[in-house]
Amino acid sequence: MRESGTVSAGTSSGPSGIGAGGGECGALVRAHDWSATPLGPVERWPRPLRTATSICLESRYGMCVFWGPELVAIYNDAYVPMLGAKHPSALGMRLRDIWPEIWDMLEPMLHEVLQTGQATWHEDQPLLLERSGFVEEAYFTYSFSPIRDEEGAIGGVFTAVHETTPQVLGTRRLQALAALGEALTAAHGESEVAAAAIDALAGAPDDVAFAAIYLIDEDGGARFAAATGTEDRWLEAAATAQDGERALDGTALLLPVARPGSEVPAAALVLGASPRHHLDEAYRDFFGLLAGQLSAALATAAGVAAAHTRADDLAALDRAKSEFFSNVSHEFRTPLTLMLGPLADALDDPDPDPAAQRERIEIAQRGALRLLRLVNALLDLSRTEAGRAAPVYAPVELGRLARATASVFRSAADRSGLELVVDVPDDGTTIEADAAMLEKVLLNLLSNAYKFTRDGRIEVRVRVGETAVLEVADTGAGIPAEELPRLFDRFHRVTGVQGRSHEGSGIGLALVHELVRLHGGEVSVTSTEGEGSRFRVELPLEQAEAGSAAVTDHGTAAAQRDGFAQEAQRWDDVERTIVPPPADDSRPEVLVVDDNRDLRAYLTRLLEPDYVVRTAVDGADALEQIDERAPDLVLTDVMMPRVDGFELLARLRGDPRTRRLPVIVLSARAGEEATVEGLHAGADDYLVKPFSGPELRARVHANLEVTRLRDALASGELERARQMEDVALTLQRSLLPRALPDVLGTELCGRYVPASESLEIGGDFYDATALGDGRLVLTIGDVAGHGVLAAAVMGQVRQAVRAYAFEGHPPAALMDRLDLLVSDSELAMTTCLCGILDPSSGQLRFSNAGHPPPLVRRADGSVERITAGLSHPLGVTMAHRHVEAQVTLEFGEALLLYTDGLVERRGEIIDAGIDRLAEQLACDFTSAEEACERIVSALEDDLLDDVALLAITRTPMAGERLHSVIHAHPNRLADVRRRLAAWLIAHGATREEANDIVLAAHEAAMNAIEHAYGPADAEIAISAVLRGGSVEISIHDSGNWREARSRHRGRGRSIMSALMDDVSIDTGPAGSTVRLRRRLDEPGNE
Amino acid sequence: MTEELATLRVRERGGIVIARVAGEIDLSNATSLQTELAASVSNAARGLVIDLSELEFLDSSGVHMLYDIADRLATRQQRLAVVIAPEAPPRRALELSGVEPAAWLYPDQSAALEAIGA
Repeated sequence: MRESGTVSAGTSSGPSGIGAGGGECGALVRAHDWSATPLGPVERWPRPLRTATSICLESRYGMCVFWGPELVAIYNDAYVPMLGAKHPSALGMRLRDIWPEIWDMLEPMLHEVLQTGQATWHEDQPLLLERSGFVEEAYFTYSFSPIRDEEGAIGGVFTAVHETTPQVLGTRRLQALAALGEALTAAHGESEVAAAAIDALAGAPDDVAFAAIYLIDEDGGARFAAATGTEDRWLEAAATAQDGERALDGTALLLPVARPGSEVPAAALVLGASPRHHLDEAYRDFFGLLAGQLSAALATAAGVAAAHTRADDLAALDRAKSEFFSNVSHEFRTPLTLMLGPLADALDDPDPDPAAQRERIEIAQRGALRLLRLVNALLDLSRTEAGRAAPVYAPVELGRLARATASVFRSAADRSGLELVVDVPDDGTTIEADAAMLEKVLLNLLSNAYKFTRDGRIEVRVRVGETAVLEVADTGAGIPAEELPRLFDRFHRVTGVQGRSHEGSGIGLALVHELVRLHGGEVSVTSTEGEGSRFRVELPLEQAEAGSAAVTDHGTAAAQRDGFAQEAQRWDDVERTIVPPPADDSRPEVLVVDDNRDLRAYLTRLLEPDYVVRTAVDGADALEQIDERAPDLVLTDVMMPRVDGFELLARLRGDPRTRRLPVIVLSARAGEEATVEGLHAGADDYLVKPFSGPELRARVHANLEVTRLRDALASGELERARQMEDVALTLQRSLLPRALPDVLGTELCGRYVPASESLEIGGDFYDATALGDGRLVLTIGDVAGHGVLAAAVMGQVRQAVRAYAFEGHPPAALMDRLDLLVSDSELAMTTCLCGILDPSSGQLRFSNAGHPPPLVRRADGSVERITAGLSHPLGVTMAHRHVEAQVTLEFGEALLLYTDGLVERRGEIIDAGIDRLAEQLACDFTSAEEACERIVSALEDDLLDDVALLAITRTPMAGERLHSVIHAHPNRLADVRRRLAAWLIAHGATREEANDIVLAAHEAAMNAIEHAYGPADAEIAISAVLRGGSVEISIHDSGNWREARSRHRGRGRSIMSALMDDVSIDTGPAGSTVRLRRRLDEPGNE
Repeated sequence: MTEELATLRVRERGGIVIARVAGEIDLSNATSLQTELAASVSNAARGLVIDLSELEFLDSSGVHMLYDIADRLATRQQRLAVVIAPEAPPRRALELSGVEPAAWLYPDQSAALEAIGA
C-alpha cells in the first residue's frame, strides 16, 4: 500500500478527517481504531480514500469502499442490511474475511478492476450468503469501479450495490404460478388435477422444496393424492386442514385448499419452504396463491364431473326438444299457410265474390281451429307435466264415458267403412276418476286408432274387476317393435308408418301417459306391424286422495270433442283419383300433391287462373296419375301417408320418362336431414311454409320456363333457343331477388349488369334471404358458360343454397352439399361464395368455393381483401372439402361480394382489377346503394362478362347499445377497443373523441380485469349507450375495486378523469362498476 | 386475436440501440415488450431510442413500462430517448398520466438521435 506523503490535509473536517454524519456507520468509522488495520490511522489516509469514504458514508444508496491490496472494507448504513449478522464486525475487515463463502467469485472480478481500471456491472447476480445463520440465496445488482490514488494508480475499489432478492424471487414465483395455472387448465378430474399440480410444483424446486396433496371428500375424509420431494407422511395433519393454515415440522406448511361454498376444504396442500429463504410474508402469500389456484382447478374439475353425470340426460332432453320443435314447426306451418294464404287473398281481392270470400274465411277458420287444438294439446301436456293439473275425482261410469266418446268417431268410421265396436258393461259400475281427463285419454287413443286404420275395425272395450281396464284396439298399420319403448315419450312420433294423415304432433300419446299416471294407473301397448295395435289402460277403482273442488270446464270439453271429430272428417280415405282427360287448352298442367284437403283446395285456387290443376292425395296416388299422363310440373308436400314427397321425387327421377319433370317441394319441417336428402333426389325448387300466393305462382312460372328452355336446348333446337335469349334474360332477372330482405342492422344492395358485347346472358347471380332468427344468408355465384343453360343451373344452385341454409347447415357443409348437387347433376363448373351474417354481432361465417375474394371496407376507411375460407370451385373434383372462415363487420363497415366480370379487363391481371375495386370502395359512401351505384357507374362500356355484385353495410340501430361480455384476460382488451371505436364512430363521435373515450374505457376495463383476477372463467361486462348527446359507458367486474396502489393504476385513474366528463366507481358485494360519461360535440362542429 | 398486437424491430448503430415498436401496447403485451427491450440493450450500449412513431395505442401500463425502462437505463448510466409524434394518439396517455413531462420524449427520430448524442 502506498502512503501519501502529505499529512496536513483534512484536519479542518474533524479530528478523524472524516466528515460528521453518515449515521451509525459514520460514527463507527470515526470511532474505529484504524491504526490497527492495514489502512493505518485516518490522519495518514490518502485524500482519495478520505473523499471516497465521505461520499460512501453520506450516500443513502448501499456503498462500500475497499482499499488497498487487502481490500479493507468501509461501508455505509444502506449496506448494513446486506451484511446481516456480519455487521458491525465487518467494518475494517478484509473483504475475503467478510465474505469467505463467495470470495472465489468476487476475487476475479475485483482483480479485473484492479488490473485494468475498467468498471464492472452485474445485474441480479445470485450469491449464496451466510448472513443470518443459514445459507441464503440472495440477488444483487452492483458495479465495481476503481478509485485512483493521488499518483493515478488504482488504490481501491468503490462499490454501489443494491439487493434485488425480492424482485427476483417475485418474478420467479409469478412464473411458477403461471406454470401451475397452465398445467391445471389441461387437467380433468380431481386426481388428474392433483397430479398435474405436483408436476408443476416439482418444476419450481427453488421455491417449493417439496409438496404433497391430499384430497378431502365432502365428509372431511382425507386421502393421499400425489407428492414430490416428500412422501405420504402428512395424512394426519391433512385430515385437520379444516382448522386452517399452520406450520408443520421444520419448513413444512399446511394449507387448506378451499372448496367454494363449503366449510370443508377440497384438499390439503403441504408445501416445503426453501431452506435458503426466510418464510416471510411474501413467501406465505405465494403459497397462498398456489393453494388458491389449486382450489379453482379442483372446483372446475368437480363441476365438470357433475356436468358429465347430467350430460346424457341433457342430451336426451335436447334431442327430444329438437324433435319437438321440428314437429311443431311442421304442424303449425300447415294451418298457418291455410290461414295466411286465404286471408291475404281475401284482402287483396278488389272485387270479392261473396261465395269465394266465404270459402276463404272458412278455410282460414279451420286452420285456426287446428292451431287451437295443437296449442291446447301443448298446454295440457305442459300443465300435466308441471303437476299443475290436479285431477278432480268423482264417480265416473267408465262404460258410459267410453260409449259417448266413441260416438264422436262414429260418422267418420262409417264414411270410411270401418267397423266401430264398443264393448262396455252397462251395469252402472263407477270408478273414482277425473271424467274430463279420461275423456281426453279416450279421444286421443281413438283418434290415433282411426288415423292409422284403413280397413277393418276399431274396438273399445271396458272391464271393471279389481281394477278398471280400458282397451282400444285396431286392425291398422301397427307399430314397429323398435318404436314401442319410446311410444309414450314426449314429442316422439313414429315415422314411416302408413296412416290416414301425417298430421300429429307427438303429443297425444305422451298426454295419455301423463293423465293415466296422474290417476295412479298404467298404459301399455301391444302391436304387430301390419296387423294392428292394442292400447291398454289400467286404472285403480279408488283414489287415495280426495280431489280438489275445481269445476270442470265443460265448454272446453265440448269444443275439444268437436275438434277431434272435425279433424277426423277431414282426413281422406285413400282412393284413386280419376285422371281427367287432357284439358282442351294450351295452359300447362300442374299436379298438386298434398294429403290435406284444405291445402289442396287452396293451392288449386291459387294456380287455376294460369294452369290446369290436378290433385293427388298422396305420393302413391300421384305416381299412378303420372303413370297415366304426366303433368308439366309437380307441386308436392313432403309428409304424406303411403308414399311421401321424397319417395315420390326419387321414383320420378328414377324413371327415364319423368326424369326431367320439374318438381317443387313444399316443406314445413326445418332442421331435418331427410329434407336435404330430398333435394339431392332432384327437387327443382323448394318452398317453405308459410308462403305467399304470389311467391308460389312466381316459382311455378319460373320453373316451367327453365324447363322449356332446357328442353329446347336438349332437343337441338338451338335456333329456337337463341330466339329465346331475351326470354332467358328476363328469366335471369326473375331469378335474381326482386327485393332484398330488410333486416334490422343491415343495409343491402345488389346489382346485375349483363355483358355488353353479346346478348347472351351469363350465369352470374346473387341472393340474400333472411332466416327466421334474424340472420341473413348471402350468396354470390358464377356458373361457367352463358345462355339459358347457365341460367337454369343458376336457378337451381340458388334454390339449393336457400334450402340448405334454411335447414341450418353451416356454410362449409352447405358448400359440400352444393358441390354434390352440381357434380351429380352434370351441371357446369360453378364458383360460389355463401355466408351467414348475424347482424347483431356483425359476424359473417362463410365458405368460398373458388370465387374472387370478398372485400371488407373497415371503419377507418381501409379495405381488406378476405382470402380466408377459400377452396375449390363446385363441380370440378370429387373431394367436396370446403372450408369456412369468419369475418366481423363493425358498425358502418361494409362487405362487397362480386363476380369476376367486375374485376376483369383485357390485358390486365385480375389482381389489378381487385385493387382498383378496393380503391373505389375506400372512398366515402353513406349507403350500400351508393357504393353499388359508384361501382357500376365506373364500369367500362365494353363489359367482357356479365357482372353481379352485392353490398352489405352494417348499420347501427337507433339508440342501440353496445354490450359485450368478455373473458377477464388482458388479451381480450384489443378486441374491446376495436368494437368500442367502431361503435363510437358509427354513433357520430369524431376520431379524436373516439380515441379519448376508448383510452378511458380501456383503462377502466384493465382495472376490472385485474380485479376479476382469480377464477379462471371470470368475466367482465362492458356496455355503451348514447343518451342525450352523451356517451355513457359502464364496465362491470365481479371483483372489488382497489384503490390505486401500483404506479400504473394511479395513472389509469387520472387518465379516466382527464378524458371523461364524469367518472364514478361503485363497489358493492357483487363487484365493481365504473361509469364513464362524456358529451359528444354536436355533429358538424368538427 | 391471433396476430401479435405489437411488432418490435431492433437495430444498433454506433452504440445506440434503435427499437421501433408498431401496433398497440397494452396490459397484454407491456411486460413481455419490456423484457425484449431490456434484452436488446447490452452492457456496452450507450443508449436506447424507442421509436413509437408507428404506434397506434398506448395505455397506462405502457406508460408504466416506459418509466420503468427509463429508471433502469438511468441506473446503468445509459441514455434513453422515446419518439412519439406530437399529434399521435399514444401521446394522450403519456400527457394524462399525472406525472411530470418526461425529459426523454422527442417528436421524431432525428431529434431523438441528436439528443442522445449519436
